[in-house]
Parts: sequence; C-alpha cells; structure tokens
Amino acid sequence: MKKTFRVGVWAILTLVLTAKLSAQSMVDLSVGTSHQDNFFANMAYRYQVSNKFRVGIEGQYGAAKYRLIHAKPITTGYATSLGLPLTIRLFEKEQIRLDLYAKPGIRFQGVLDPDNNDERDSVLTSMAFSFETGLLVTINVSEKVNFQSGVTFPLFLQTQPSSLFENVYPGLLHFGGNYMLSTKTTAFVKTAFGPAVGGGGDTQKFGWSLQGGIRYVLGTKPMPSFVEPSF
Amino acid sequence: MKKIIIAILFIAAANTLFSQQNTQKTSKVGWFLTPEVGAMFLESHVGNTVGISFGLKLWKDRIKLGIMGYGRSGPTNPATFAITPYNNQTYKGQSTLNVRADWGAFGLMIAPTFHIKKITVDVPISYGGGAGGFYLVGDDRKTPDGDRVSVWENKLFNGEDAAFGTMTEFGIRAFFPTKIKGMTYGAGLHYTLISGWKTLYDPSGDFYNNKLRASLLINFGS
Repeated sequence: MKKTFRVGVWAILTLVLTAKLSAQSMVDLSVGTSHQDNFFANMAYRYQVSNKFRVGIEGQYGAAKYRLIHAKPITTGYATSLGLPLTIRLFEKEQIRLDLYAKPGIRFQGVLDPDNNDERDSVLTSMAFSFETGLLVTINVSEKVNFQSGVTFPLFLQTQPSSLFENVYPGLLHFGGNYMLSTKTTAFVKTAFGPAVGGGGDTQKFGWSLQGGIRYVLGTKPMPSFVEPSF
Repeated sequence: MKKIIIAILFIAAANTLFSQQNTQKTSKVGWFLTPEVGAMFLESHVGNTVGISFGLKLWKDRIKLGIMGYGRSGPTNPATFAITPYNNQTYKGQSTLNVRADWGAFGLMIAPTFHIKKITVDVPISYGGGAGGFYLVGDDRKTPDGDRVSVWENKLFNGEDAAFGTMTEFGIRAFFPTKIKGMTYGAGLHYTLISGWKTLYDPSGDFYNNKLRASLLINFGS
C-alpha cells in the first residue's frame, strides 16, 4: 500500500514537472454585448499543458437584456456562468490550424422584482448546466495577425426552477481576429451568431454576440495563436 | 523502485508524445469546415439563412463526407404571415394573427468533388431532418395570463404551430482559391425537398418543399 502510494506520488510529480516544462499560462479579459446581455464581462485563465492540449477556467457576468427563466423572458437581472474550456489541436500545417473545443459549465440567472410591481419583494432565479463543443480554424495571416472561424454547438439544460432544454444552438458560427501587440499581449475581437431552438418553442430563436479583449501571457514562451471562442 | 522507474518512463513518454510537433505529417484523410450564409427562395419572400458543413475529405479529395445544417431564424427574417387561429379562436381581440416563421435543417452530406483548373466543384447530396413553424411575435408574445407563449401557440394553432419533416437536398458548389493556402471562397445552389412537414398555416407542407436555396461560402480545410 505504502509502495503504491509512493509510485502514485512520483508519477504525479513527474507528470506535473514534464508538463510544466512545456507549459504556459495566459489570462484573457474581455467585454461585449449580445442578444442576451446589454453588457457582459468575461475573464479566463488558460493553461497550455502541451503543444496540443490547453485547459482553463472561464467566468462571465452579464447584465440581462433578453434571457429566459422557465421559458419565460426576463429583460432585467443578471447571468453568471462558469466554464472549464478544453482545446485539443487536431491539425496544423503552414498557415492553418484546426482545434477541437469543448466547454462544460454551469450558469446562474436571476431577476429582482420579477412581477414588476416596483418592489423588490421577490427574486426569481434559475440554474442550468451547459455544454459546448465545436471546431475552430485559425489562419495566420502574418506573424502578428491571425483570424479565426468555426462552429460550436452550445446547449443549456435548465435544472431549476424546472427541467428543460432551454436553448440549443444547432450551429453557432464564430469569426474573430487577433493582433499581437507585444510578445506577451494580444488584442482580440470575436463575434458569434446562429439559430437557437429549444424550450418547446419559447427560445431566443437566434443568438449573436460581439466581444473584444486582451490576452496576457504569463510566461516567457512565444504567444500561442489560438484564442478560444466565447459568447 | 522498478515500478517507479516504469511509471516515470511511461508518463514522460506519454507527455513527450502529446507535446510533439507533428505538423509536417501528411495524411490521406483531409478535413473541411465551411461556414455559409444563404437565401431560401420561398413562395412570397426570400429567407435569410446561416449554416455550416464540415467533415472529412476522402479518396484523395474526391469525396467529402460530413454533416450539414442551416437555420432560417425568425429574428433575421422579418416577414410575417397572416393566420386564422383554429376553430376561429381570438387572441387579445384579434381574429387574424401575424406570425413569423423559423426553420432549421440538419443532415448527413456526401459530396463528390472535382477540380477544374484552380476551381474546386462539389456536388453535395444531403439527407436528414428539418423542423420549424410559425410563432407569435412582438407584443403578442406577452400572453394575457402570463403563461408560456408556446402554451398559447399550441392552443391557438391546435398543436400544429410547428412540425418535423424529412429533408433531402441536392446542390452544386464552386470554390475559388485565395492567397491563403487552406482557405477558399465560393457559392452554391441547392434544391430542397421536404416531406412530412405540415402546419396549420401550410397544410400542404410546401412552404419549404421543392424550393431553391443559394449559399455564399468560406471554406477551410487541409
């Protein structure tokens, strides 16, 4: 038992050490607007485990414009989400690169005064699990500039106050561009749009977002060109 | 001690493998990813669509095999359609309602591919499903009793506000090269057949059936 434990500790230490040698981490800060939110702020920490794998944690806070709780629209309130994005590089040759993207997550929404009686006498909240997967293409136009496109398939399963597939996006298109400001800093813009279904018809029908931000690299290695999508 | 050495060697080897740059490898199987915007030439108007096709290129780029899908969403298509509710019901005092339409199709795609000089031409044949319907819009989405809109839509249209159908589509697309290797742009024309889709507004099911669809494309691929 003691020996097995020792083997395990050594194995984990070796994994961390060898991963750390090729590792790099980065922080993304961005703001945007969308069909759902008047304004949202997004913050993400990403860890480049190897040349192919990247994992991270991403949080977003939005001031609601048109969201749904129990398939009924809310036009004020908040939405907070937390996700664990994962990317796997599938292909890279010359200027073009293809990544597989996946992000499980959780989302909380709430609105004060849901009955609009001008008194904050009640709060309506919801919780949903989300899962998004897709394919992203990066094209390096020059050493400093690249642009990205691709498709993701986000889905939201509301679990409280009722259980239903609230929003399913059967093909959200992504377009974006990144400009390297320095060896450690990149500015990016990204947009996403596509049809939405779900909620027995009580859905947003179409989704879009526009977002801009900065990536800062915590390390000394060259800037990785790929920027994850979010909306 | 032996176990420790084996474990270290195994993990180090696995990690090195993950880290390895294999960018110069050539593969017999390629890939494509093609976002598109399009237009559906329907009876009384032109519908705006957003779509995608993606998958694998096989047999030295002679066949594309993948998934295709597109949506004609209500918010990007302001056209409305006048409908009389089932059994002459009224809604907020109205005996005729102006509704919007939405539609989405998703299917498997096989596309024989040809190269004519620098132009790539493919012939996508798709088979799958489609779903869509007609929905209340604007202030009509605020229901009199605060219930869900879909509950009212079901009641007003006798459950025939939306439906599923089978989609078959034949197309031809041409792609032109750009200065960037791996990226082309193009246009396509598609003929769409929908069967089994029937709603109260369109009992014949011809709203999307037997129609042409055009697409503008950006194509990425190996």
